[in-house]
This record gives sequence, structure tokens and C-alpha cells, in this order.
Amino acid sequence: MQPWPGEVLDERSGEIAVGFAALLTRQAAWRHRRVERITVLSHERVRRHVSVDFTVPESHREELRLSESEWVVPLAYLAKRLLVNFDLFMEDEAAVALLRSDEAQLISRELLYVMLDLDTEDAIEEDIAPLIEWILAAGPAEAEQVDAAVGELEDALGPLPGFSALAAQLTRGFLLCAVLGDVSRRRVVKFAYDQPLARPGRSVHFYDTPGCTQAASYHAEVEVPDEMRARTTDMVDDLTGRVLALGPRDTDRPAIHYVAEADAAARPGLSVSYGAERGRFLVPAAIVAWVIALGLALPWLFADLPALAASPSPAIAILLSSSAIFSGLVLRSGEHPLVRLMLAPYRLCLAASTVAAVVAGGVLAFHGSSGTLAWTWGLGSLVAVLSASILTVEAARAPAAARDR
Amino acid sequence: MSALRRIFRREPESLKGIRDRSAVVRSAEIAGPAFPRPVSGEEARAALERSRARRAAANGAA
Repeated sequence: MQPWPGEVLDERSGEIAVGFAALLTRQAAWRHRRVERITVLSHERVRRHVSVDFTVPESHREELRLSESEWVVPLAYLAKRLLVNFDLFMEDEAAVALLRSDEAQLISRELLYVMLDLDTEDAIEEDIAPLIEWILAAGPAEAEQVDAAVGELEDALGPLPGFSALAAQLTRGFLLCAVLGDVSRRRVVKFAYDQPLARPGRSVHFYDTPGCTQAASYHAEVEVPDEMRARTTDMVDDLTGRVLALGPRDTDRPAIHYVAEADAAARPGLSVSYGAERGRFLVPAAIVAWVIALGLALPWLFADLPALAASPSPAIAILLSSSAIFSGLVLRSGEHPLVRLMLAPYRLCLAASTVAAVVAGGVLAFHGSSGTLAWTWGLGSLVAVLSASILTVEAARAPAAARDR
Repeated sequence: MSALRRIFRREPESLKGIRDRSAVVRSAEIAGPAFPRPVSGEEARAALERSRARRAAANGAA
């Protein structure tokens, strides 16, 4: 009688854990390359595409065998939290089976026992099974309590560096394991998932990159939304502030290459500073804002506004009204949500300038008193000049569009 | 006001703690454990056998 798949895994879990112990303690030796592509979907969400290029060493293929034609390969450690839009594919985009977290636990359990036995030569008298079950079942909120319990075990048995390192990660996450039909050659497995921005922000994003320690070569690239540029792209250790690798400046597809040691004392991440291209909005907006500013400030300084107000259909009111139409054209929306968010303050500047022009023109057209005219035009000039200055400074700072576009 | 703040902003002197000052995208992955040394298949198999023997003995005693 054929055993059920769960029974096969139960029976093979120890042997697979032996293979995992060898592979996971030398990740760079068999994972050749890992590429992460981060696509900014909106100001609240990104999609991360990961590809892992590896060759299972011949000496460990038999250990990883699940059945006649199936092998279990550890790809990554995933945090114990909800995955959104998770996909797993082979190099030809064919879907790949993966072990459920409870199935992966069968292997993780044996792996914990193996690491514990490797750490201590003393026979373990006390029953550590409840601790191991707690490690596997713990939720994120219990991580510190489990760490403390592992610390107590170390107090009793002496240092357990391999066990405690594995226990800490299996408390917080689980092994992502693919079930492959062929490990006799070099393979590429891809997975992708959506992630929210923990604190939605505008210009500077920080992408955690724990995967940079898990292959011989690590590449990360960012797909920047249209009308934006990545001003700077740096691989940074958040704990020390040290820049680990510098990416290109002002590009729409920044890429970075870095390989880190698996060092618990470092927290590497990709820091990307975004900027909206100047040509689409900022420069036209600055020009319109200066036209409005001059249209308000020059008459306020040099013209006789009460006399203009007394004359029929003053031309300047028409001029100011037409500038409002130009502003309306520049204020158009419909871009990527992150671009819209970044440009929002500058759109407000242009809107304020336009409102100042319309109010000043209106007071003139409706023959406001000389005092009202002076105040309206004076304040309007101030608002328009301030807005135009802000837009000019930001346009000067903003990145130019790519020449090859 | 945010436009003015952006104009007069100062770049921080250090990137230390940049994560807290940025919009953060946590990875669904976590870092691999920092194992103290590589383990060979033979070592791991021997450890598994010792561990299983110990667990079997403990279960038998129970």
C-alpha cells in the first residue's frame, strides 16, 4: 500500500533535515545568485520579485529526496505573518509546489534537534521537546519569551550558538521550501509578493533586504514609477549608518550589487530617495507662477489700481483670468499615486497663486475700494512670489528627465 | 508648509537610523540564522542519529 504524502514527509523529515543542515550553514556555496526587483505599485504598496539561482550539490541530492521524482529545497525564511499575492514559479514561469508551513515544521523540528546535538556533547537529560514545539508554534508576539527560554537552556547546558541562532529565526519565521521535480542541474526559482509601506511617506523609502546574506551574489533593482527618478540608491546598514554599496544617481532603474556576511549585528537595507522629474510639472508650474506673480506685483508697485478699477473692462483682469486657465492645465492630475503625493504641496502652491490672481482680478473687475485693492493685490503678490520661488527652487533641485525617453 | 519644510530641510549628517526616518517596506523574509560554522552532511547525520536515539530512550523511559 502506498503511504500518504504526509507519511512520506514524516518518514523523510530527518534525512531532509540532514541535507538542510549542510545547505543552510553554507548558503553561498550552492545559491549562486539572488536578484530582487522592487516595483513601486503606489505610495502604500510595493511588489517584490525574488529569483534564486542555485545548484543542489550532488552529495546532498539524495538527502533532499522526498519521493522518486521530488526533492525539497529550502529557498528562504519567511516571517510568520500574512503573505499578500504570493506566487512561486520556475524559470519557465511554471508553477512550483511548496511545502505548507506545518509540513516544513516537520523538517524544522528535526533540524532543531540536529543543531542542538551539534552544539552540545553532553547528553541532554531534561526534555526539551516542549521548548522545540513552542519555537515552531510561537507567534511573533512570543518571540522575546522564547528567546528568554532558549537563554535559560544555554545557562543550563552552556553555549548553543547554532541552536539558538536557528531557534531565533524559526520563532519569527518558517522555512520556505519548494518541491522540485529535478535538481540535477542549475535551477532558478522565482517568488513574488506584495508588501505595504509601514509608514507611508513621500520621498525616502527604506526596503529591508535580509536576502542579501543568502547567496554568493546579491542584486537589487528598483522599478521607479514614470515621471520619477531615484535620486540616490544606497545599501545602508541601519544600525551603524555605514553605506555598504552605492547605486547610480538620478535613474529610473537603479541597481545595486552587494554581498554581506550573515551577521546578526547588521541590518542592511536599500535606501532610495525619490524625486519627481522637473519637466512634467515643476518647470511649467514655476513659469506660470512667475507670470502670475509679475502680473500681480508689477501693477501693485507701479500702476494706479483705483484708476484701473474705474476704467471699463480692465485688460489686466482679463490677463489674470487667462493665467488661471494656464494653471488649470498645469494642475492636471492622473499620474502614478506616488508622483501625485510628492507633487501635492507644489500643486497647492500653484493653486494658491492662481486663487490670488483670481481674487485680485475680481476685486479690480468689481471696482473694489482703493484700500481693498491695495491689500488684495499686496497679499496676492506676496503669495504669488512665494509660490513661484518655492516652485523654482524645487524645479532646480529636481532631476531632469532621461535623454533617451 | 510641507513645501517650505522641504526647501529648508537639512540632510542628516549620518544615515544611522535612516529606517526610522523613512517610509519602510518590511521584507516578508527574515535573515538567515548566523550559524557559527558550516556543518557537513556526515556531522549532521551523526547528530540526527544521536538525537533520535536519545529521544527514543526518553520515550521508552516514559
